[in-house]
Amino acid sequence: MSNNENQEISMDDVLNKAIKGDLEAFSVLYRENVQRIYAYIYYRTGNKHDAEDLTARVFQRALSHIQKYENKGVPFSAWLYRIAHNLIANWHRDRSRKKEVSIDETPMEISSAEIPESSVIRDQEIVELMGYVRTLPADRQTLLILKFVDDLTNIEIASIMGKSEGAIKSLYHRTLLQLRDRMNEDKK
Amino acid sequence: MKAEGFNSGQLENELKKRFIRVQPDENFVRRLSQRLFEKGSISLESSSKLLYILFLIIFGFLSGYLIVWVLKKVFRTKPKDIP
Repeated sequence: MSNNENQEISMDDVLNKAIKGDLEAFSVLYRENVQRIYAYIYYRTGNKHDAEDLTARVFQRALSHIQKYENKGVPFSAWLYRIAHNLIANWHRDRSRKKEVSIDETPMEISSAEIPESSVIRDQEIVELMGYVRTLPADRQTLLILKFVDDLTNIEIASIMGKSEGAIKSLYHRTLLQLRDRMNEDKK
Repeated sequence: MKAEGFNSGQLENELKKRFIRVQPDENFVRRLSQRLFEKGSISLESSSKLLYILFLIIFGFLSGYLIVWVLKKVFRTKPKDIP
């Protein structure tokens, strides 16, 4: 049996223990997923404060509902991403209701402590790219973040976004086209 | 994709270079872990639900008491009004 299979079996075991209410097992799942969930929320909200607040809420909600989780062989992270996705949608809705600063106008905060091997130029590049990405519809932003930040496959993204693999491929292609058009428009 | 003359590889490489996984603050990760897993801790979500239920119960009792008090007042004063 390969190491990967061993790891999968042990993570499955951990998940089943967590479902039965084992806090220690859930803490393993927390450590395994906290960085990716934080990164996803960070790119969707654009600031550290809200990313931390929403990350905390994702794990609090997951902990209070873990006993209802059905292990169907889909990565556990997919469930966490879906919780994060719902909380982010609520967060955007609340912000638009309050009519504060427009979400698209909110500057992206990039602190050097959060980015390994960061530099001023690199920070500027990320801010510039995120400016374009954040003009895209929410599902396209999610797709790009999952693909490039989390390095997930189309099948994994499909299970998180509740779509078929074909739909993800098609959405990805349309997203790249739209992003390229936005970037070209700005260069002109 | 090719028919449209779109070189997606170039843009994908650009995205790969620029998208990075931002790291959460270590203190935040530790604090959240303590909040979630320390014994006796109650999650904010469940505590707010409990407060809401408690508020409803207290509100229900107070409203009931007020209704009974008003009814008593009304029925006690009526006989006095009769000449």
